[in-house]
Amino acid sequence: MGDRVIVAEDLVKCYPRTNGKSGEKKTSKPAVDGVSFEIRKGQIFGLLGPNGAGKTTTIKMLGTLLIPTSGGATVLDHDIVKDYMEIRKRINIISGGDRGLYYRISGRQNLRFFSDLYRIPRRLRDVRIEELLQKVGLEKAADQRVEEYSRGMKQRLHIARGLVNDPDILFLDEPTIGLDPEISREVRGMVRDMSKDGKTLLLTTHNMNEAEELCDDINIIVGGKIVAKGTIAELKEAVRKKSVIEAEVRRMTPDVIEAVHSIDGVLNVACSSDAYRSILRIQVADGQDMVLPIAKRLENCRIIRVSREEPTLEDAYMSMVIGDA
Amino acid sequence: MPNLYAITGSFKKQALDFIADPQWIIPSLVAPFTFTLVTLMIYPERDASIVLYAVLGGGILGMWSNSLRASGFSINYDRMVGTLESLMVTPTPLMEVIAGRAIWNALIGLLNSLLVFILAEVVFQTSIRLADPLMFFIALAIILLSLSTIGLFLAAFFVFTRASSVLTQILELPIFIISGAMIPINLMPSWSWPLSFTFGPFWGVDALQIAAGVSSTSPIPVGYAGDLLILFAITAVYLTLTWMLFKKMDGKARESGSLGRY
Amino acid sequence: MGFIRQEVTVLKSASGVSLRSLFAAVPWWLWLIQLVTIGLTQMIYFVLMTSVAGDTTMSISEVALGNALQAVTYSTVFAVCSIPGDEKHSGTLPLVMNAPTKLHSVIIGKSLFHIAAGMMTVVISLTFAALVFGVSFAEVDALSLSMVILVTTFAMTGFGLMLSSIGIYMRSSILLASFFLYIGLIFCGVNFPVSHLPSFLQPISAVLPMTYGVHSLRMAVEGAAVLDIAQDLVLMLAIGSIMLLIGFLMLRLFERLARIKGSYEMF
Repeated sequence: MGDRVIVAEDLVKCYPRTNGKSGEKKTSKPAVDGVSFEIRKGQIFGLLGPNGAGKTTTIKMLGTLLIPTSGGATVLDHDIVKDYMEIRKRINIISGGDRGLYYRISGRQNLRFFSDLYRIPRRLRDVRIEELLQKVGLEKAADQRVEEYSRGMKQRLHIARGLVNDPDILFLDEPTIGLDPEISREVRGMVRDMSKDGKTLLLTTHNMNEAEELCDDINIIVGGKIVAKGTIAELKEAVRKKSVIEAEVRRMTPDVIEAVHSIDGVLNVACSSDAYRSILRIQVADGQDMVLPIAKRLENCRIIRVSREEPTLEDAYMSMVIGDA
Repeated sequence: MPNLYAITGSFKKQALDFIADPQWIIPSLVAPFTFTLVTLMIYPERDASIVLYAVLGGGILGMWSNSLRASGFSINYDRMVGTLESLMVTPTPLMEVIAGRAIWNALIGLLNSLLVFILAEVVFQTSIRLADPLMFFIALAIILLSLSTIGLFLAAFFVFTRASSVLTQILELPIFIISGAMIPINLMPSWSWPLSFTFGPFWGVDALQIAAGVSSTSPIPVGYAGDLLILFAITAVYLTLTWMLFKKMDGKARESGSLGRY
Repeated sequence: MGFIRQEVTVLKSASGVSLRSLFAAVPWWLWLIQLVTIGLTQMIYFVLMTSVAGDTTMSISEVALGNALQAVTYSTVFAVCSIPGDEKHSGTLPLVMNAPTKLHSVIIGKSLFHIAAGMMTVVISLTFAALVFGVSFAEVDALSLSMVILVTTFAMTGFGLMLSSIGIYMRSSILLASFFLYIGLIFCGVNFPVSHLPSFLQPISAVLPMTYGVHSLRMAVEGAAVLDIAQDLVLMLAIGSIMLLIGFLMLRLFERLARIKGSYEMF
């Protein structure tokens, strides 16, 4: 195995579908289409992509919840199709969202129940649960019913549940989805702690800041295919030539975006506005030559500044997801 | 070796859920108690043998109703609250997790028997004596396991059909009738007898009646031991079918990924 | 006029939504089977028990008729009472409460279909009683029978609406509704005469509309004219109207309490 703990080779997943009227059995177009990657021990590996890109399906295949249509993978040297019970002992999945907990019983009772499913001896179970509750900051609310928990508390409980079997590998499926910035930061801190404890993490997200902050290696998945892979620095490097020009203007009208987009060499325009100003992030093929033509199209607005910026991971992601790369 | 931690853990969790959610009182207590009470009231004279019949019948109805409704809904409940995938990603087979719940659900159905017993003693002032308490409780324990297995089967079966709520309604009273717990099956048309013979608890009910001192009304009298032997054999068949159904469900879930949705 | 038109629009829209969401979840034939089997299996069971028990005070025909009318309870009490719970479950109750329309209009609108379904269930159950248990309708007074079904449905819906208002506030109003599903079997003379109940329980029978419904139905089937059963019908109308009024007042109270406690989001 070396230090490779997850090896995915040409994973494909098509979901079987039954036609409602004719009852004819069909398969969907691939939700995951030839995905290959390797994850090393102790890494935080990011799988980035828009909604419906195939992130969750990939996680479910590696987490033994789904059988691939073709291709294969090993997790901790075990085949995901044949040796799934062996894998399940040493992994866990943490999903984001409100669901997935028994809400009529307490947080502690949830953790006890899930521990029992991993055959953890009672004494060890109770000690570990106490530690986990402290780690995720739920020790005071441990005996409260989950239905009384806030969204953030539920996510912390999800994390504790994912750690009850002290797994070697954790699959984190959008763990900060729908959380406020403060709780998201806390969750990211917990993810970093898990990595420090030597766990290997596969994280899916479409939050670029999160990926930039946490991940060692990133794969970007779009339409079931991996469209880019590498470290954050490598991904940024890939879009460096397609540099970014940022323009801050006042009195902007929607036709200005159209006008800027129509300039030869402009790949993508993203606009964010508040009551006073608008900021346009314009991806261009060559930043040096584009500043003037862009400024010309912004003539009718009040230009505060036009500057060339270093591309962020988000620029790299947008460029790859939208396909203008 | 089954994961005993998981079975006892899910038994306890089901007990906690039961206490936390008063809705479960309906299938486990209110409905069977009403039916048993009304049945008793239909009789113009309520002598000890009729009341004993009602206590036994009430217990079987309680266990059966709860297995049908609470155990039958068990996996669909996890689909509804979104916990099914967290269960399936553990190394414990789902069947063992549901088994703990199914045992609890059948057991709590016995509360009805207790209520009818108290009612009989206090309100109707009918004293009930069991001829052989040990034999009675052995038979009761085996019926409980048999009905738990049926609950387990239904939990998986109801995942495959959209008609689960209809089936619940359709099956509840007719299956209770064929169990012979309230109406001796020799009073039923003979075409219905084969249905009773393939329903394990029918044999258990006969064993219970023998142990309680009520004369057997089975068209095929095989005695206490014979009853239990047949009950064991039928329960083993149920268990095998249940195991196969869970295996099919697991395969389907990992193939289509649709099990987590509700 | 504008007010009436507005109310009618709300009623139409609410009943349409309830219908569409019901049949999106289950095909109509499955829903129909479920609806009628509850009443029919009960009828079969109690008729069988009556024949096993031997020398009972009620005939098989009376038990079959009683259970046929009792079948209306599922739609009018249980289904109507479930409306706020269903809204809570799908997270739409706060949205409905937030709209500038009266909550009772929405609940009544959503009940309309269940009321129709309830009457249909009784008709199907009566047909079943005739075909399977040989209940004779040779002497029946059709007008009286129709009046009994109509007025019993109205009175039981009053009960359902009263209980449904509790559902806005309480977590499990369905628990209460379930009690009413079964209470009828014990207190309303469906399977054994009310006089067999301990005397301290008999006043409960007197306030339940089903008691009068079952009594007048048996009379109508034996040929009683509307005037002969007028007392039962008037009592049912009175009880139903009182329940509706109490329901309306409780709805306003519980709506307020729910807004204080935030319980409209709990189920």
